[in-house]
Amino acid sequence: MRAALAIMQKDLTRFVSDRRALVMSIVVPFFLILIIGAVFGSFGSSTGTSVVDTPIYVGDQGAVGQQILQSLKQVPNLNLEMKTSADEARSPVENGDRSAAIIIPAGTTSAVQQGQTANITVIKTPSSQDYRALVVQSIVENVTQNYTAANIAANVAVSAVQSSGATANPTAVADQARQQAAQQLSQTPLVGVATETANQKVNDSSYNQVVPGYALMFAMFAVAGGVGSILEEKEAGVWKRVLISPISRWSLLGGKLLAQFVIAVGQISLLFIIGRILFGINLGSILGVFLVIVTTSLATTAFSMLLVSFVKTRAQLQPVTTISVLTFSALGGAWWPLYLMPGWLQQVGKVTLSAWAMTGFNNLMIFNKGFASAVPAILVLLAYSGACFLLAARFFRFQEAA
Amino acid sequence: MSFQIKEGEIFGLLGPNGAGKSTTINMLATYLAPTSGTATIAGVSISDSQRAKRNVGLVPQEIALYDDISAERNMRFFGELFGVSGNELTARVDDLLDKVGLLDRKKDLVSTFSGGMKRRLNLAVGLIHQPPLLMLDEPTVGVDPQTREAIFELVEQLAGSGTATLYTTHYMEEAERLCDRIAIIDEGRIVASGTLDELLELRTEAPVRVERPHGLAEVFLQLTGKQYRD
Repeated sequence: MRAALAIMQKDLTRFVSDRRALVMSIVVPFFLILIIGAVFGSFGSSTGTSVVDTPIYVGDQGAVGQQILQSLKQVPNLNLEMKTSADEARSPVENGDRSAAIIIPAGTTSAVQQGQTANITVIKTPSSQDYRALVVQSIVENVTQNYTAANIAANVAVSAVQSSGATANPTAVADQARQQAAQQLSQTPLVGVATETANQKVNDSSYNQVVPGYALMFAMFAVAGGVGSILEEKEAGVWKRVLISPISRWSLLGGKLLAQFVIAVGQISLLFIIGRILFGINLGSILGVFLVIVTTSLATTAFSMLLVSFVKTRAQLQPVTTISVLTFSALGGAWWPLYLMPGWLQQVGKVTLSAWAMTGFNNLMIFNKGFASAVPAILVLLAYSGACFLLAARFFRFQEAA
Repeated sequence: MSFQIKEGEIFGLLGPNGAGKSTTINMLATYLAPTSGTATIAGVSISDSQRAKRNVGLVPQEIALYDDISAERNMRFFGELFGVSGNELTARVDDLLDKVGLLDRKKDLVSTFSGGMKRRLNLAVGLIHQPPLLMLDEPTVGVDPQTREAIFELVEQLAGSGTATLYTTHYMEEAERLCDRIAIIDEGRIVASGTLDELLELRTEAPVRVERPHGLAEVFLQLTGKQYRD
C-alpha cells in the first residue's frame, strides 16, 4: 500500500508540475463552458426537428377518440407510445424521460355528440424552452382543428344539400355552405386542447447541462492521457525500473490508477465549484452530485485502463482516445441533454459511461429529482468500473514479450 | 553459463550484440524468469523475487528517470519503492547526489540536465537502497570523459566498500581499467573468463587486428569473430 501511495504521489506531482496538462484539464474546459453556455442560453433552444417520442393514453373508445388517434399516428414527427392509463402516460414526462404526453379522456365522443367541447390534454415538461413539448402541443392543436373543420364541413355540406332541393343552383349552395362553415368555425371548437404542466421543477439554465457535460469530456481526455503515461514509461524504460523494485505489480498499477482517479475527481469537482460560483448551477443533492462525480471518475479511470490494455504505444493510444471520448460525449449526452435525443439513440447511448453519468447529473441538476434518482446511475457506473477493470486486468501486459 | 561475483569485486560481462548480456542482467534482476537454471544473490535465490530484488541495484542502459520531476523527487520515489523512508531516505538522497555531483541541482527538473548529468543520476537511483549487487548495463554510453571518470571512481569506491558489481560494456578499455575479472560471452555461453592477464594470455600468434595486436579487444575479436551481430 505504501508503495502504491508513493506511485500515486509521484504521478500527482508530475501532473501538477505539467502546466500544459493543467491548462488542458481546467482552463480549456472552463472557457468552452463559458462560450457554449452563453451561446445556447438555455439548452432547449435547438431548432432541429426529429421524431418526438410521445406517450399517449386513449381513454375514449368512441369514434372521435379513435379518429384523432389515427390522425396523430399519421404525423411523421410523432412516435406514439400507447399507455394504459393517464398516470402511465404522465409519468415519463414527470420523470424527465419525455417532453410531453397526450391524454384523450374517456367520454370525448359522447361530449362531442352532445354538442359540448371535449378537451384533449397535452402534458408538457415545465421547461418553457423545450421545443419538443411545443412541437407536440402544436401537432395536437393542428389535428383537433382539422378534425373540427372536417366535421363542420361535412355537416354543413349535408345540411346544404338537404335544404336546397333537387333544383338548387350548385354555386348558390356552395356559397351558403361556405358562409355557414365560416360562422361555425369561429365558434367553440368540437375538440379543444388543454395543456397541463407536469409536476416537475426544472432548472433549464444551459450551464446545468454544459458544466457536467464538458467537465466529463475533459476528464475523460485527461485520465486517458494519464493512464497512457504507462505506455510512455514503458517506452522510456522507467516502467521496467519500477517493475524490478520489490513491490507487487498490482500495487504499481493500483497506485497509477489511484492518481488518475484523484485527478479526475479533483478536475470535475473544481469545474463544478467554478460553475456554481460563476454560473449558479443547481446541484440538487450535493451528496448525489458528489457520488456521481466519484463513480464517474472511477468508471473513466477503468475505461482508460481498458484502452491502454489494448494498445502498445502512445501513438496508437491518441487516436483511440480521441475517437472514444468524442463518441461517448456525443452518444452520452455530454454535448446536449439526453432527453433531446431520439429514443433509439438514447438506448444506444446506454453503452457509454457518459450516458449514465449525464443521466445522474441531469436528474439531480436539471430535474431536481433528489438523491434517489441518481442511485441507478451510481450503481451502473460502479458496475461499469468493475467490468472495465476486470477486462483490463485480463488483457493488460505488464511487460512486453522479450 | 555459470559465474560467481565476490563481495567488492567488479565483474565485467563482455559480448557482441545479442550475446545474452541484457538477458542475463534481466534474469538476475528478476525482470525475466529463467527457463532453466538458478541464481543466488547475497544468499537469496532469484526464485524468491521479492527478497532478491532488494539485493540488486540495476542501472539500465537507458535513462530510466522521470524527466518532469526533480532529481531529488526521482531519488525519493525509487527509495520509497524499496522501503527506504524518513531521515534515512533524506540522508541517502543527499549523500548519493553529492557523490555524483548533483547535490546543488537536486531541486531541478531532470529535463534541464545534460546527458552526462542524467547518466550520473541514473546511477545514483540504482544505489538508493544500498544493494549488495550493483548491475551496470553499459553505463557510459554517450557521456563525456569527465562523467565517465566520475562513474568509474564511484564504482571503484563502492567496490571498496564491499559492493559486488556486474558491469557490461562494449568499451574494452573500460573493462581493462575497471574489472577484476571478465567473462566474454557469445550466444548465451561464456567462451572465456578470468582476470585481464589471464584473458590476455589467450592471444594467438596470428592477431585478428594486425594494426593493434594487443589488449582485450584483440582477445574479444579472436573469441567472438568479426562478423556483424545486428
